[in-house]
Amino acid sequence: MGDKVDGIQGLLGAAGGLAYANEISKRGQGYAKEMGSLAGQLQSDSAFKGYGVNTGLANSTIEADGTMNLGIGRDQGMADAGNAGFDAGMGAMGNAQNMLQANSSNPAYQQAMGMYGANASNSQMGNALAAQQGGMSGISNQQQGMLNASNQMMQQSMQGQAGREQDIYGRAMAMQQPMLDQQRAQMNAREFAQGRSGIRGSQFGGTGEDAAMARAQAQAQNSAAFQSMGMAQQEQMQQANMANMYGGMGQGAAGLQGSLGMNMGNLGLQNAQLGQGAAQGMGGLGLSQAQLGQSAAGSMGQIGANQAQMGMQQYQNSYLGMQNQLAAMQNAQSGANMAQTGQLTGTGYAAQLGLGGVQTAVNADKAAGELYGNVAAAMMNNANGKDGASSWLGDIFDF
Amino acid sequence: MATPLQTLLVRAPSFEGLNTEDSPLGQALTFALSADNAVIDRLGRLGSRLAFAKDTDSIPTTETVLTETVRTEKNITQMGGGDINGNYVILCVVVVEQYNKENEVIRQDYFVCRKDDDVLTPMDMPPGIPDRTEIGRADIVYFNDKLYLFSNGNPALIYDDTADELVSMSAETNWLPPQDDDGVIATEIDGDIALPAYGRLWVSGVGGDYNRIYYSDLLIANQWYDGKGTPTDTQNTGGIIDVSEFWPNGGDRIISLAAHNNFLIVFGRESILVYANAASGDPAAEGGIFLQDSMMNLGSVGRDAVVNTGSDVLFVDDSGIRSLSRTIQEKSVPIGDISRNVRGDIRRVIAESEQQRIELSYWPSESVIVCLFPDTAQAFVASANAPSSTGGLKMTKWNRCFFNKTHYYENQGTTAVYLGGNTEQNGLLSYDGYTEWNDQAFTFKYSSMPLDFGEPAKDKFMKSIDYTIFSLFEETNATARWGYDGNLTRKKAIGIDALIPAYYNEATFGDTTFGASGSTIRRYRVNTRGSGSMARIGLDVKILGNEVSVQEINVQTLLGRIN
Repeated sequence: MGDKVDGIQGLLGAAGGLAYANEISKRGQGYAKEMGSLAGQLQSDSAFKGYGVNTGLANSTIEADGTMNLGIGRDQGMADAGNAGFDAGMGAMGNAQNMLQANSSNPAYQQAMGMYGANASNSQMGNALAAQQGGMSGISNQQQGMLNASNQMMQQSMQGQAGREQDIYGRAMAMQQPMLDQQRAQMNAREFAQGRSGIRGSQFGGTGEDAAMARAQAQAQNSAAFQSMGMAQQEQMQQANMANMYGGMGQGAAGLQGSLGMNMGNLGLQNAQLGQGAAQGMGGLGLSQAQLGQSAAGSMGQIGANQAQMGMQQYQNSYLGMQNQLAAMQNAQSGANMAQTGQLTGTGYAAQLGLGGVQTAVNADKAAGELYGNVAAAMMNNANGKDGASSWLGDIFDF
Repeated sequence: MATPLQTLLVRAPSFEGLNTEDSPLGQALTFALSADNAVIDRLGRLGSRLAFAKDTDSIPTTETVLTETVRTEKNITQMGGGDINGNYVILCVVVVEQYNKENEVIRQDYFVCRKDDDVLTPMDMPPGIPDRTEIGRADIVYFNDKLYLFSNGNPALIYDDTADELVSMSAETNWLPPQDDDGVIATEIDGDIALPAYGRLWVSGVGGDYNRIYYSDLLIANQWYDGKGTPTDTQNTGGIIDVSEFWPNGGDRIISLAAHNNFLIVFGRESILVYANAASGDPAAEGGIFLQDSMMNLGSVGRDAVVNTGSDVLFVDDSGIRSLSRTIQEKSVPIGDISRNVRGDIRRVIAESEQQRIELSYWPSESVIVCLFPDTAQAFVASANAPSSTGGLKMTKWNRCFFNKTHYYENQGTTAVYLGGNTEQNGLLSYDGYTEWNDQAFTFKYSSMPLDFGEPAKDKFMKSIDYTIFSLFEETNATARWGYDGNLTRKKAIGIDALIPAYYNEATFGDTTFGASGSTIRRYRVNTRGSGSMARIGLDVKILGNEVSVQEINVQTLLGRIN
């Protein structure tokens, strides 16, 4: 029975606790609502209200939403004058650019360049070079021919004599061949007439008469061979001498060729120098003229630049009124700030006081709630078993 | 009124031999119209020839006998001989032919045999002879103690009597073929026309070239032309003669070669070249051999149809037997015409004969020149004694000449004539004695020219003919013939007596029968009949062991009226 009473106590304590909790919650919600209203009031009170500046130039205003109306614009006349000066400067600069461009096609310069070009294709120099080439070619050929002849003679003179001897011997025998053939034919005819034709003996190869003729011819051949040897030697000496002679001629031709080359080179050089001097003179003239052009263009450009600068200054001056108005507004801004600061300070005070009242109410509710909670909790502890064992309520509500 | 008998006495009738060229009318009775198996005997009479007597007994060749063989014939086709170191050697080429029952030759073999008394002994030959058929017509010549056998396309073979064999010339140690700086000209001396003369061998036909004559070194038959710059044998004098430039008719070929009187005589078929000074030490040297003469339209019909009689060179031309020395001397027509008296007859026989087989031989001991025609077994025989009154030699004619070749043998004073026979004659025959090899008689036949007794217009009535005949050794039968107007239509047999003559110191009293030498000459009378404008007489005598000569004929006739 005791347990059941304890339990009922517990239930009654719990029910009272719950009801008080709901009350507290409702009170909290009321505080929040009050603070919302306070916040709304503070917001309205602390908002920017705008301000205005009146000068002799214009009436400028700052609206609550921050919009500024300066109340003055640029001076259109000055702006137009500045634009006109800028345009004039740009025109002068364009003229200067044209002058510079005109300078790049400077006729004197072009003439100088033409003279350079003409000098490069200088007909006199070309003639000189052609003459030089021709002379050198002719003399080179002559020299080559001489040297080849000399080389050939030298080689011939250095060759063994046997081949040349054979050649001379062959020519000598070739010259003698008709006579030998005639002799042989006569011999054959004689042998035929004597009935000796067609006979060949071991001692002679043919007949004895054939052998006699062969011996005679062999002697002639031997003589020719010895003569050929002598002639070959003489020829070798002649060839050596001719090699020397041709070599000398070749060297002379080489010297002549060198001299001619030098002369022609000098001539070409002189001609080239003349061309280069003329071209250089013309180039100087062109350069001077170009410098003049450039100087004029520079002056023209400078004039243009000054005019443009003047236009720009004029244009800037057209905004001078606005600047002065803005400066006045900047001066007015400190007053605005002071007004705003006072407004915000008052608002702060109001807020702090409102919040302090709420805070006090809350603290009171909190203390009441804690007290009431302790009462409910003690009542609910009766619902437990002895010695803190569980009870049926505890089994339902796990505390 | 009866007319007296006319007597015509003809002494040594027809002692000038045959004459068939001139008109028989009006000819002297010294010529005969026929003289068969006759010679001009040692006394200038027309007499019988000697016999073709048996010499060898057999030819023991060793050929392979085929089973189809039904008949074998052996013929001696070539002969040659000479004294080899004191031994006279005769070599024969024996051709053995085997026939089948269709009488076709089915095998031929060739042997070179040496005569050893009465046997022909085959000699060995080197192997590899290219063409053995050419051995059958080889030229066998004697030179410097050796026998050489030259045949076309075959190496020259040498027999030196040291063994029963022949060796190739190219196998000899001192063999030097014809050569020059371009190489060997001929690897063998393979010609078949050879002549040993003037210390050299002269050969044509080498390499089939019948326009060249190769002559050997002096007395060295194995060394030939050496035309190299430096001859192998610096003493070599061999050489070559090219005759092609000298044929007078534009071209010919060498048929035969002969030597005479320092001449080298080159016989073409239709021309003759005469080289003089052939016996010089080196024919090619200056002053050596040279062509002295050339003749057209004269030439030899065959290689063996040329013979040297010592004083003359005779050859068989298409027109007959010609004399070269006379030709050379005369250098113009008429030239020496040995067979002038029988020109027509011999020309026909030459034309109809196998000319390569015609042989002209000279038998000095018999003083005859025999022109043999083996394919018709006949021969025209010229007496080498004094010529006839026409200028031609005294000619007779032989038949039954069953031999192909003859060889005159002379050795140390002994002479003989050997005849190359055949199987039937068992090899060689000899021209000797009076009995033929087959013991059969042959007929000596004589007939005269037509006789007109100086009265050609009157008929002749021959009454009798007296034959004065010289005979020896054996009696024999004869037939006396006579006739008129060119014919010998009448005949009468007579017996010819013979007495064995007695010669000093050959027979002595009591040993044999002998009588006076004159008793062998006897007159035989034959009574005749018939008549005609021209009379002819003749005589046929069987010769078998006997010898006969006609010494005299005496004709008695009546002369009638003029026709």
